[in-house]
Amino acid sequence: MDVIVEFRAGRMALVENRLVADPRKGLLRVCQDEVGLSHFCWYERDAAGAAAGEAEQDIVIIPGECTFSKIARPGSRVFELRFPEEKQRNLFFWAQEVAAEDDDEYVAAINLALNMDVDGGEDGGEGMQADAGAPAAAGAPAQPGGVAPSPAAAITSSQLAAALGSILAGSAGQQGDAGTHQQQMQQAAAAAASRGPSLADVLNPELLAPLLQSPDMVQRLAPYLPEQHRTAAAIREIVSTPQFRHQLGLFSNALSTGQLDTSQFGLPAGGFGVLDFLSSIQAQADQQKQQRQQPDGGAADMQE
Amino acid sequence: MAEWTTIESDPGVFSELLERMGVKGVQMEELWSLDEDSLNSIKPIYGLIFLFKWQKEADARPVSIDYEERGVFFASQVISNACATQAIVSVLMNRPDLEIGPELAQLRDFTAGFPPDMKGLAIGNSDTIRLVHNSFSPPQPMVPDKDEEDNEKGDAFHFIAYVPVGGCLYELDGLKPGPIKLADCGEDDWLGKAAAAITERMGRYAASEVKFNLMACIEDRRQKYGRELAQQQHLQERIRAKLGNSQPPAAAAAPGGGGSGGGEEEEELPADPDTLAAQLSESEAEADRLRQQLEMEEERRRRWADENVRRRTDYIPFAFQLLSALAERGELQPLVQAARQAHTAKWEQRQQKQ
Repeated sequence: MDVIVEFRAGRMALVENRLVADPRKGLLRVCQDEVGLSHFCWYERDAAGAAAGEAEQDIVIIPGECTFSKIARPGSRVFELRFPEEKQRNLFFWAQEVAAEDDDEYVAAINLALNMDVDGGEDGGEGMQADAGAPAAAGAPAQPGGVAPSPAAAITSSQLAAALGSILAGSAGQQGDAGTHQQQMQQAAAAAASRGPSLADVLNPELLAPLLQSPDMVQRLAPYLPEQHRTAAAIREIVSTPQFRHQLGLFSNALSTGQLDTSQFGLPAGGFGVLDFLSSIQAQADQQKQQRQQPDGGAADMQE
Repeated sequence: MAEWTTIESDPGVFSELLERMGVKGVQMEELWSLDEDSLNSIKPIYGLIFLFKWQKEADARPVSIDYEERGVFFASQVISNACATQAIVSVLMNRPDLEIGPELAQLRDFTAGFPPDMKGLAIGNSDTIRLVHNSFSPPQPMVPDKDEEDNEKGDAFHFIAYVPVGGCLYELDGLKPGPIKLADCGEDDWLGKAAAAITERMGRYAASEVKFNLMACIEDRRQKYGRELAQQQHLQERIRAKLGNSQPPAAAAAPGGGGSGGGEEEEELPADPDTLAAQLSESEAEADRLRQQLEMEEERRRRWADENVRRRTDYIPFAFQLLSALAERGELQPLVQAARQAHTAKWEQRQQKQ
């Protein structure tokens, strides 16, 4: 397998809701195998600092199913490999690299490596621009504040490694420019999130149709639509119209690039991408249901 | 300058745009072919508009020098998002036979004698035009619309108008310094010459697979069918009067714009009753056909109006409500799972192709 990114880190385990560190020296690697699949691996390190023996963990990662991030807690250098849809698969690591300033670069690089469409693109090889300042997400030119969400162009693993290497090398000399770090982080996480299913994928018109029949549903949705479209039939039609799907696409993009302030929906901030957003919605719905079941009557139904 | 949103290049959008700007009796129509029959079926045509993904190409053709004296309205393209609207305005401003409404007439008078860039600025600064143009996207969407969709929707598309003015056919390209005279022409042969010029352009672009579209600025078809229907009905009355030896109806005034001039002498009807009867059924058949066309056109307008309502609707609050409702009913998770499975399956399929 080709090694794309390496990061010295130790494992952590969740024991009764607390993170407990495994003291052994270790190495995180994102690799690519012969068929182009990304692997997330952890090896123990030997006295010389090299990977010892077989990988203790070797997980095949499908683009879009997880993100790698640093847990936001001052003074801690704990990282999480997060699967929004399968929390039981989440993994935690503690940094063993000496220079904390480079953490963000590594996070960006690992995200890109896990979620890039390497050698698998249907769009033909365009080659990635190895630009240390602004990692080109998936072959498209970097855009300020966001990432082109279109499918990745194919690149080879050596090109990817080279580009990521230059990100990491570039950081060695940097003065800790907060703007660039943040931009790289955003772009990397965005690349991750944009590879997964979109809102339009989730709101599949065929699967939705039977769910939109009930008068309750129609009544609930009607106030959000123009007068002429407030019937069950009109609502079923709306979800397959190009206008609706176009707006869903914009919305998915905004979610993926972190441009959307989720607090305007009454949701907690943070998280990237569609799957995180949907988890928040589900969490909020569950919470409201619990409140309604309280003996004291609970909160009102609708939260504007 | 205030913001202009991107709008779809769609005849339904443009036709309503015309209406909202105060233009009467005009609509836009998408053209799939430049052959004579296709063009004849939508006459009267006031101008043609060719849309394509703009790319730099060398053009050594000289710009017309005396176009201003000849009464040609030419404005530079100042706002990239408004190129469609501007091309349409260009056609309208160059057709004195049309009722373009007070706003556009005022703009035309106000900018008479201005150089092209100032004309372009005047259009760009027109709140009326801008507000109508912007009314074809959702108001204050929750979600930024800036960069990525522009290329699909029209920002990178360029529009060139072809319109006859004062005996000459002009190509109006807002990115050039002035209009280009293509040929001398009359009202009855400019179309053929414009079609030839456009066909030549399409030939150039076909090699490089540039996407393009063609639109025509034509008389409102409801108005046209209505007028022709009235003409048939009047003819029928005349024939029936003659057959029944009764008083013929008063000569009909020609309603509506375009088409044949009013006050023409009516054609003399044949004397022979059989011929008259034949003419009558012919007219009745034509009237039926026109009624059908009119009904189809009304239906299409209803569909266009509905689509424009959709374009104006901000669906994000609705989408959020939908997702919340599904979540509350436990119906969201299965949809997410299905989407993830489909996504994974697609990915695995691609890997297998390696």
